[in-house]
Amino acid sequence: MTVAPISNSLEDGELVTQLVAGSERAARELVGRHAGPLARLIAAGGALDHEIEDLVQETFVKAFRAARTWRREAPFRAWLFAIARNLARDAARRRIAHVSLDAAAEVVSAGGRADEVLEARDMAARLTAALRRLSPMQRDVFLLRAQQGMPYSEIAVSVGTSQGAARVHYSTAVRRLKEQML
Amino acid sequence: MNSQCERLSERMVEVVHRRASWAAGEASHLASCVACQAELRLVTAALTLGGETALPDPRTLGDRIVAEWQAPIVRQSGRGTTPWLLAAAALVVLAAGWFAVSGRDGAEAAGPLPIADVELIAPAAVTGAVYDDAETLSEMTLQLGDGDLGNLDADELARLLRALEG
Repeated sequence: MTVAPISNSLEDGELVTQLVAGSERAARELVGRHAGPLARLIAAGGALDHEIEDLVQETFVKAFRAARTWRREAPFRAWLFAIARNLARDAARRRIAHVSLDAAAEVVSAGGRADEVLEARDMAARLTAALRRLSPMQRDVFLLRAQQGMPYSEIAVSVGTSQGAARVHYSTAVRRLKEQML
Repeated sequence: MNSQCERLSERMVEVVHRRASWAAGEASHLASCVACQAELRLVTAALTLGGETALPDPRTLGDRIVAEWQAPIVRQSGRGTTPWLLAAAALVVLAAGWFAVSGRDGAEAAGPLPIADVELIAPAAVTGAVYDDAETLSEMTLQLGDGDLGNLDADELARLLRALEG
């Protein structure tokens, strides 16, 4: 059966309205729009490779089931990322990750290799390790801002704080990351 | 960090995400400011994080998500066990207490277990245990109608969402 695509011009809010009415197509469109950025955010936040797909799926299912409770003052993406953040945090609590965290910390400790040229891949690996030394709030705000390109208004919704506080968390995160990596 | 650095920090994400480009003055500052260059490297590196994450194609992922979304909510055996274990433990304690009391009172010792009394006590314990289970709370909350949720203010809704997401 051929299913007509949903227009890209539809806003998330309209899709959620259709979703609440039971539209599968709206659900698929929302997945198509947000799954990639969501997976990258979850991965950068420290989830293990085998957890990412499940967390993405779980995030969407929870969001879809609770879609009628979404207050539309904030973008759907911000709300979705807030759900993902909580799920990822729960997964981290359940996980026994001491070994991988220690290994990541060693990468940061070995930061004295001034004679080596840091390529982008190496920089990303060091950043991943350094991010683990930030508080969860600082890490989330940094990733939502730098990786996802979110405005502070959306970040504030996603992490449950004010815009002003989000700016402070971002500045602190950048300062601490610089100290650790440079 | 001076005001020019702060301004660049604000604009940096926009430029890196290709929603803006540097003005001449900003580019000039960036070329001479080590701190801003370092921040730019951080933000650029952040953009690449998770880039190698392998997800199934959107159609497959969409199929799975839609199937789970539309499936009836069933309590997972592991998560649903705790409340029932607590309820069972409460019943055992009540029963033990009853036998201890009736053991001192010969007239009641031969009588049957007053099931009605137990049922009066047990629901509170069971309800408390069930409400401790975030998943169950989530399911129960989702059954609320629009009208009920519409009466919540922002703080109440935030608390509800936090409870929903555990």
